[in-house]
Amino acid sequence: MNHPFFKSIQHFILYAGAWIMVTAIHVAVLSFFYNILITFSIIDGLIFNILFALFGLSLWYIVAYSRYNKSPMLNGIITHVTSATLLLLIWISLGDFILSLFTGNNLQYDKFLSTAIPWRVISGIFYYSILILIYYIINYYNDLQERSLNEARLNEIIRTTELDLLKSQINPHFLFNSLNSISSLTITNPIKAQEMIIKLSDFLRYSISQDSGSFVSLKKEIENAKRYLEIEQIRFGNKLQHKFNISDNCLEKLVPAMILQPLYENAVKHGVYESTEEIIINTNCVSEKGVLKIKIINNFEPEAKSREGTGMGIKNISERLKLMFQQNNLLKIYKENNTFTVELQIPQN
Amino acid sequence: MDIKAIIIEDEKPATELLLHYLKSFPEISIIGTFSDGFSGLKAINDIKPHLVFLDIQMPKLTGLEILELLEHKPAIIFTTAFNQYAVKAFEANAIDYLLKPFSSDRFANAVKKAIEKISQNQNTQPIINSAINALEPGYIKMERIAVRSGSKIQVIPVEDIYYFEADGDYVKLHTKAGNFLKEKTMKYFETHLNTSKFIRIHRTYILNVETIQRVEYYDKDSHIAVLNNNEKIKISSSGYKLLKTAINL
Repeated sequence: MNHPFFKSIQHFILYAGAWIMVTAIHVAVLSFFYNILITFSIIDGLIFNILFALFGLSLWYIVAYSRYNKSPMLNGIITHVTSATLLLLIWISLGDFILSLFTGNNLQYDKFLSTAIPWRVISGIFYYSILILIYYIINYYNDLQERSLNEARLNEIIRTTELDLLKSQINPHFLFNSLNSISSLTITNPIKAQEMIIKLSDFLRYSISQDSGSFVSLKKEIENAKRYLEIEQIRFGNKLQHKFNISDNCLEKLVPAMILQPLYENAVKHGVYESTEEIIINTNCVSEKGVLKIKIINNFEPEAKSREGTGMGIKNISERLKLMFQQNNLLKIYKENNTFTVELQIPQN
Repeated sequence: MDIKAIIIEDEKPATELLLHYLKSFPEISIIGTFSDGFSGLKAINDIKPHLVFLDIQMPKLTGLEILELLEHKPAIIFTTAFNQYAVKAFEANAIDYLLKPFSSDRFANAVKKAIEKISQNQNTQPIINSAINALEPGYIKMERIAVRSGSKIQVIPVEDIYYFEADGDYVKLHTKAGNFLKEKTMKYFETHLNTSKFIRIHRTYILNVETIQRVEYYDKDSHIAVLNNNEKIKISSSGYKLLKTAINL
C-alpha cells in the first residue's frame, strides 16, 4: 500500500508546501490578532503544524485499511472519532510540552496557551477532516484506476481465451484423431460412429458458443466434460475411466464457461496419452459457505516423462479466475506419487 | 514376396482402420500390433519386419524417438493426426506419411511405394535421419532424450544431463544415471536444447548451467567449470562469453 505523499518527490513537496502555507497563516494570525511576539508565533506555528503534518501522514493507513474492511459506515465513524480524539490529545499535549521547553516564563504567552486549547481543538478537527477527505479521494481514485486496469487485463485474457478456444480447447490433434476414429467406426461399427459424430458435434457447439466471460451452470460444464471424456474413451477404450461425484446442491451453481474443459484435457494429455495403464479421472464437488469446491483427480504413470511443458492450460485457468473474482489461490494443484489433483474454488455471490 | 509388417498405434479404432485397409494387400501379413513406444521398438528389433506403420504421439516413446533407437531398419509409414512441423520435414525428405483421417486410396498409394522400396531393397533410414535432424527447433521441445544402454532403453529428462561431449560420430551424454552415447551431432543438440539452460561452452562440450558449482580461471584464454560432482571441464573464450550472458556473471 503505497503512501500517496511518498510516491514521488513532487507529491511530498505538495504536502509539505500545503503545511508551510498553513503554518504561515497560523503565525500571522497569532502575531496580528493575539499580539503575540513574532518569535513565539513562529515557534508555536512550527511546532504544532510540523507535529500535525507528521501525524497526518500516518492517517493514510487508517483510510487505506478501511478499504479492505467492508463494514458499514458506523464502523468508519467510530474509527475516525477514536483516532481524531487520540490524535488531538497527543498533538496538543505534546505540542504544549515542547513549547514550554522554548518559552520558559513568559506571562503573556502562558495566558495565551491556556485559552488556546479550544481553538486548537477546533483547528485540529478541521485539519483532520480535510486530510481524511483528501485521503479518501485519493483512495477512491486509486481503486478506480486499479479496477479499469483489471478490466483491461480481463478483456485481454478473454480475447486470448477466445483464440485458445479455436487453438487449444478444440485442439486440432484431438479433433483429427477423433475424426480418424469416426472414419474407422464407419466401417467396423456404424452405429457407434453416428453416436460419436453427435457427441463431437455437441462438444464443438458448446465450445464455440460459450462466451468466455460468461457464466453457466456447473451442470452444463460437467455435461460438456463428460462428452469430451466419452469421445476420448472411444479412442482409448478402457485405458480411460471417469467418475463424477457431484453433490446435488452444486449442479445449479454458476461457474465461468469453459473453465473445466482445459483441466480435463490436461488430465487426458498427461495421464492417458502418456500411459499404458488405466487412468481414472475422478471429479468431486461440494458447495460450502458460498464457495463451490471442485476437485479433479487423476492418476498418472510416474515414469512417463512428459514431452511438453506442463500446466499452460492450468496457468491460464488460474489467471482467469484471479481476474474474474479478484482473488488469489482459487486454483491449487497437488502432485504426489502418482496422483495429480486440481482444486478449484468458485465463489458464489 | 511376403512382406512382414507391424502396426504401432495407441488408439484402437485407428489400428482397426489400418487392419481393414490392409485386407486389400494380401502380400502383406501383419505380425502384430503394439500400443506403446517401448513394446513397438522391441517388436521392430525382435521381429525385424519389412514395413512398420508408426504413429507419432504414443506413450513411453514417440514414433520419432523410436526411429532414433532402431537397430533394424524397416520401411516406415508414419501416421499422424496433426503435426505441421513433422509433416513439413517429411515432405521435404520424401518420407511416407499418412495424415489422419486418410482415405483408402491414399493409404494404398503409400503402401505401394513402400512395397516398391522394400522389393528393391532400398535403405530408407538415412533419409529419415536427415528428416528428423531437419525438424525445426521448437517442434521437438527437447525435454527428454531416449538412449539405449545395453538391451534396455532409457528415457532421460534433459535436466538430469550434466553435459554433452562430442565423441567422434556420437555425442556422449554425461548424466546422473551414467554416460550414454547418442548418434547425433553437437549442432543438433545445440539447436534443439533450451539455450538458456544448455550452453555450448566449448567445441567439445554443451553444459547444463544448473550443474555448475563454480567457474575458475585457467589461463589467458580459458576458464574451467567445476561441476557439482567436482568434475572439471574446459571453457573456451567464446564459450565463456556465452556462459557469462546466460548466467549473468
